[in-house]
Amino acid sequence: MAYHTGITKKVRQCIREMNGRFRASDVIDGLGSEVQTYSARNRVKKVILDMAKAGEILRLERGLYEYRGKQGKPQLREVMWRILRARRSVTVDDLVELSGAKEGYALEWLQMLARNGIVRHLKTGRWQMISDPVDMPDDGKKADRLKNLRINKKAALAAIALATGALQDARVVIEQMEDA
Amino acid sequence: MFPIVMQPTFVKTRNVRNFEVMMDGLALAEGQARMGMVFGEAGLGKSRTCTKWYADHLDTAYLYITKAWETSYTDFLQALCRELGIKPAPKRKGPCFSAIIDSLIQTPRTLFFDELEKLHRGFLEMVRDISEMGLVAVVLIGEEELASYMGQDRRVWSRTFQALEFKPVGVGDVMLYIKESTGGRIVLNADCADAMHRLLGGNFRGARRTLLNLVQICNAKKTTEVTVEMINIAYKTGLEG
Repeated sequence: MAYHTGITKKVRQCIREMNGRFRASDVIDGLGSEVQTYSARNRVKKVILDMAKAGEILRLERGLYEYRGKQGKPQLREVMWRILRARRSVTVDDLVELSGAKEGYALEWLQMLARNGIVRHLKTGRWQMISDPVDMPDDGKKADRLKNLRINKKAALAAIALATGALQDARVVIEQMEDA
Repeated sequence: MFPIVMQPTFVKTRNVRNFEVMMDGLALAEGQARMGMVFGEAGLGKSRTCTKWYADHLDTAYLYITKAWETSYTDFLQALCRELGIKPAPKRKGPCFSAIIDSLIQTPRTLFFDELEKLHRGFLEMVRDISEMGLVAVVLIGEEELASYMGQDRRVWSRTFQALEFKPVGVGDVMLYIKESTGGRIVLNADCADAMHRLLGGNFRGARRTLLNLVQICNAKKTTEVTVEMINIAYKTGLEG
């Protein structure tokens, strides 16, 4: 089974483009060649059910939905992004106070924005917005790094399990030899 | 024990609590056009409070008004399109307006306009129309002039559902701010709180600087017992920069 296919994002994008009421079959048709197998179609239906549970889509009647938008508390980065856009110039303390983020996290996030040319660090200690893309920029590099870390960790744990199994087998053989 | 560290903390002063009540009141009339107004002297935390609400609630949009839009409704509407995620923003006023209404009907959001009183009253009527046709709450933020700016238009005033004046911070707010910002390490007695309140003149802008200086003094003296003299020194040091 494939993980991290990004199917939820694709389903959400498709639903938003429909701009009104929809059924699961509409989303499946909308995704076209991305959803060709039975298991892929089931994944789409599961995503729709999860979105309905989270309140992002509203179930009007059996099988008919309407997109409402994401509910619930925004992520910390989204909160900090909105603060930066509203104020145009912030300090780390401003972000800590208004978002509740930890100082280190807020600083790291601002440094990421600076690397992406969104803000610049002034001598006064403030961070000034110099470019406003409206949508929050994705920290692609860090996300890739974390993703690779997870993949490598999984591979390392699998190798350890294999080695442990082989050691166990070797122990059994040696014990049998000693008994013999 | 030392040093005392000052933690940036958003303190729920009386003004903030009243603001939350106002926003809850606006939310009760969901699906209707309604307007709110937050006004008061500079430095009382109006924009900061509204910024925090905007940041914590995804179903809001915030637009800081610039004087440069004075001669162009289109520029104003295009800026609003941008905030609402309408891409690309239409080039003409009419299609811009329609796109905004469509977007708000599709995804209702409370709109915050900061310093709308910079622009002539035609813009106020446009904002009223957006609220009427989009069936959303519009909250205007501004200084004392905002009340008269809105009051002169009877149609707007009659639709003003909630009006909140941010008042100068009280002694209780000052004590709460210092206590929460220092994690309870510094607690002012009544005399000190009164002295600090008088020096600040009910304005929060000087409070952080004064508190920073006060914390430094406490750390230098290795004491959490604050005196009126220490507060006077902390305030004057802050003025000198």
